[in-house]
Amino acid sequence: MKFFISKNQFFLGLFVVQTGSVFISFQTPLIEAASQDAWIVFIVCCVIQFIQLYLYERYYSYFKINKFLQWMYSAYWLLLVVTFLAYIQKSLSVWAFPLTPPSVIIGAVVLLSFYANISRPESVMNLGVLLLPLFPLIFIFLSLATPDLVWTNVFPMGNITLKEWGIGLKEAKFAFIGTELYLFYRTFVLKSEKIDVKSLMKFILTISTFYFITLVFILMFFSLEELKIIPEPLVYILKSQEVTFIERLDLFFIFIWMAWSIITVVYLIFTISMFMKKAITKTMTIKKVILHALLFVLPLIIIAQELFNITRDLLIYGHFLFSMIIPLFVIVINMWRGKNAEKA
Amino acid sequence: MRKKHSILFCVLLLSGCWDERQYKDFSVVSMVGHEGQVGEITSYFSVPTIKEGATTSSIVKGMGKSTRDARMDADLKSNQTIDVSKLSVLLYSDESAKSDLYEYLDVYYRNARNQLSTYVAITEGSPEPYIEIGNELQDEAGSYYKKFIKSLSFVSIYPETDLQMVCSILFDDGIDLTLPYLFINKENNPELKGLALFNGREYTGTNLTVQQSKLLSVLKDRVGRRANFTVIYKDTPVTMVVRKIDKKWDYSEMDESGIIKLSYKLKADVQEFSKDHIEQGENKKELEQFLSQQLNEETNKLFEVLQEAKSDPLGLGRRVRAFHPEVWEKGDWNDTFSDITIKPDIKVDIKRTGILK
Amino acid sequence: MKKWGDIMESFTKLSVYIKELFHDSSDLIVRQIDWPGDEAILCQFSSLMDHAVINEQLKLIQERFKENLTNWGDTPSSSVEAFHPANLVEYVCRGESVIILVESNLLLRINLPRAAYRAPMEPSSEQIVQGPHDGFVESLDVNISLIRKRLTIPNLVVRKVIVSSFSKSPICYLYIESKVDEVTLSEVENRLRKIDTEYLISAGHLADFLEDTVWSPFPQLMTTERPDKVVSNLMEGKVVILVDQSPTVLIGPVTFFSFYQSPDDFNGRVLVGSFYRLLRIFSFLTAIFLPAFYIAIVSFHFEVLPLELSKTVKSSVNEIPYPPFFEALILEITIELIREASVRLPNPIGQTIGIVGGLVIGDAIVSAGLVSNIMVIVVAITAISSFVIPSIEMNTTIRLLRYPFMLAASMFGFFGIAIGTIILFIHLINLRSLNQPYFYPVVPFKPLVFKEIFFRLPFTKPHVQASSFVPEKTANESGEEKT
Repeated sequence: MKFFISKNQFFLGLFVVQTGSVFISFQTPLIEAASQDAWIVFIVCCVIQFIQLYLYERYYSYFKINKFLQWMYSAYWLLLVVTFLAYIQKSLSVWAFPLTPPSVIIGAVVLLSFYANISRPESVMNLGVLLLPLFPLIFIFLSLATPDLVWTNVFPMGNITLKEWGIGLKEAKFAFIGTELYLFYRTFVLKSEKIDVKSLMKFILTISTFYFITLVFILMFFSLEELKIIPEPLVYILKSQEVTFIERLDLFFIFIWMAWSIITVVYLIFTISMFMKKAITKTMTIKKVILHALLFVLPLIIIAQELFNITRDLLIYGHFLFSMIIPLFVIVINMWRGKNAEKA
Repeated sequence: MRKKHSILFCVLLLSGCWDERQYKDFSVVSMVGHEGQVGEITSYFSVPTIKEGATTSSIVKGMGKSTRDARMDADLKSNQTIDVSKLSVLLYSDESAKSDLYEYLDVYYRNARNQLSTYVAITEGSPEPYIEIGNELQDEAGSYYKKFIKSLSFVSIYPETDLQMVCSILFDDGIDLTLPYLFINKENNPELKGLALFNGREYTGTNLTVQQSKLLSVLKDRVGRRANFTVIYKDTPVTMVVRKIDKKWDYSEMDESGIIKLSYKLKADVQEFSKDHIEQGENKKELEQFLSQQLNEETNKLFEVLQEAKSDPLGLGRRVRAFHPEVWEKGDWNDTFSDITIKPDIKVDIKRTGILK
Repeated sequence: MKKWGDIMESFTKLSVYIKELFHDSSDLIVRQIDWPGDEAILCQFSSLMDHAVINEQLKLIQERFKENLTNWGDTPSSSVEAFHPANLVEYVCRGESVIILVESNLLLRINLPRAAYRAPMEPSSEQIVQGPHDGFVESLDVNISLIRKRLTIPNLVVRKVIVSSFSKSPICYLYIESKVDEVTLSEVENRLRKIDTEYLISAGHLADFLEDTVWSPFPQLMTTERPDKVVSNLMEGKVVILVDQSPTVLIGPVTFFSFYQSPDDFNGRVLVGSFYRLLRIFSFLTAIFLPAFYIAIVSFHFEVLPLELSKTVKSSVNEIPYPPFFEALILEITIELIREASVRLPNPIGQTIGIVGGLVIGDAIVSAGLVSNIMVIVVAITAISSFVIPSIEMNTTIRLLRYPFMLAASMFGFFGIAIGTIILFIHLINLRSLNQPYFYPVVPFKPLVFKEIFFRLPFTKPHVQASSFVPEKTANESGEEKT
């Protein structure tokens, strides 16, 4: 399967995958770890992220992985998707559907992902467009809360220990989960569209501004003690807003977020079936059927066995392993080999 | 084929079996009152009944170990399941509020379906008669009290504080909660006595007067549409309306001597002044000085009350926490608050005088 | 086949043969006429011609023949060719008058058929307030003339094909040579060539053959009866397909949003046109989602209603015996019945149906307590917003689409609606019209084109639809990329 994507599609996809499920939940652990300084930690994390992307952009052509690593990446992504799905189910059941069995909700989402995945790759790549009208909506919703913000909540600054910095950075980096897709999809971007530092900068600014606004809103809206008991503060802010014509903005937001996460899931599944083509020698459709069957079963296991926190922790470390350490090794080894080949 | 059709038909009939909540099966309560302590709580639900399009409400009483338990008890006494997701006002008797308020409120935060724009108020004695009177005054007590409390923010007595903000404030050590305190007057109508002051999560038992409450709103810079103050100046009443507030809180002497200077510049309009000729000569300046002095005196009295009750509804502690961590960490802020010196300085600046001079 | 010479022997034999060919229809005329120096047989359907005109033409040709002109038979409406029975059948069936010159073995065609046609009246399904009020009729020639009189350029190409093996009805496709996309054109030609059918008399038949996804609820070819709409689409580089004897023409490739545009937009002022365009896009949302939304609220999420509104809703649904989904279904079906009945009935009675249906049933159904009055409002608003859409087929599509949404909402509340919306979106993304993206400018994503969809911009130049799912520059980069 060969296809091309434009620069905008590439960045939109990356944006959707990274924000995906995490954007309503990464704030609480981060603030728990770094208290009022969460926003500073986050800014530092964004700088690190930018450097990482810059390195990706420079050396992506050296990133060629063997079969074993393909399997590893696929397993990691599968874990990611499965955790997302479990999380979607968990949130939906808490916020809207306490009695609906998990299998029904996950089944519906998985069927949807299957339907999307048997479409043409161009369609999948364009799914992110559905979310564009939702961005302003989220910010309009959020802006309703501005009168209730307490700006002194972000102070005092710089009071956290080195250990807290470490945990904070780890949690902040979780917001950028899925970055490694950059390396995989970069080769599909049209050759005629240059990705320079400026466009990277634009991308990282967009995504970090988006995160940053939500983070600061949450920090200023809730008191620290209160935050410790609220796992999805962003939704909670919306819940507390009163608009004249409709109540419970959170309910609408939950579904916006759900659509968002589903698209993330679709992207990731698409990626797995795309890059696993060398790993399993079967037709595409069968592969997709198997994948989706797994997707249906695994989240249910996670929910039933209450493995959610374990997989989430695994993912954080997996993120470091798969987005930093392995690419570093692969790129360095390939560069070294390339030089050797030149010499020979 | 027939089998397929019958399955489809069954699906249609069974549609929405899990989380379906038909609106007609629920009795949506707009107002709840609680009294008693944790362990034996009595709750009063204003349950609406609809008959031929007209709504009438009656009170269903429930008793239990907690607020949730009391609701279960009340469910047994009504034909439809009681649903509190559209609660507009929550009432607590003054006695219950004297213990940890959050214990009663937790159930309302924990359920995603509950609305957080609910208002909370304290009643003198049991909330039952309040709901009863509310039901008589309007077909539903909830909408009556909602408008009642909303109008308080209009005249700047009580800045709108919904359930969510109550929670934020309860969890924030740097600021204390105030809630409207209601009593039943001689005409058998609910009336506002003032604002109930909280220390941490507990009601102190002290109330501000209506006038002081209004002043507090001005100090908070959260006035509503109207913030009127009437004083007698040289035997004639003067009424001023605060238009714009410039506030400056000076904490520079906080660390050494524990002094907070609060300086305010109020831009005000004169609404009533039968002597006229404000613009003439020194009249305006004198009037301004007089008004400033009056407000300063009242503010000092207000802070005396607040410090005695160890309640900081102004949120002075928030900045202390942000910028003076040494003071903050010295001990409980409410205790520190009662010891520090607060020097208010209010200057009134008359801007407009209506269509007369 | 009988031996040729035998038939030509005499008039009687020939006339018997011809009558046999046409199964001796009563309106068939086979008659010997006088011809200088030859034996001539006139053959025609009396039902398809104006006798006076034919007489006149015949006299003219005979005079030319007598004058011994070389091309005596060729006039604008007649021609001469060698005789062949197969041709004879085809011409006569088409309404031409044929004269067989037996001795010289020639066939003279006089192509002056007469059939009953409507005047090009404004199509009742696509009425506009201002602008041209003519519409297509049931004749290929008249229809093409309606288009050609608007586009007096040599670049307007008309191609005729005959696709049906039995009825032989001609189909024409039109395009503007300099504007049309070559790939699209060859795609249309390709698909027309592949059609294998006995008869084909309406645009609807043809659309089934030409569409990319027949089972999709969305029409992928636009149908219209308005020549002005056809012309503006031709100018945008589209292909227009006409079927003989059908006033409805097909236009392709189209996008989803083009169904929401009306020629009225450009007959009015910029701001007015933009306002109504926005209104129509909004009507898309209400027409599909409103009943589903209402069902989801009253059976799952009633806490989203503000207190004041909730009291009204509560008092209206309190005594209704059915679940909201059935309630909505009763009303929706009633409205569909009213619509269907008023379409079939003649105009004066149609209005009565409207009154009976709308007022009597609407009022009685509420007071009988079968349906809540809020539901009546919801369904009525939905019905009105579905009728706003300028295109008839899109209009029916949208009306059909809300049933699955209602079902989803009654089963899963907002979750069902959200899932349904995503499915709808994926489907729209996947759809193609003549191999071109249907959901342009969403796919491929062109943010700047959106303003042309939501607003009626000042008319400067017609916009061109995207021809590929691949981002634009790909075509240059790698030629073989095809979706």
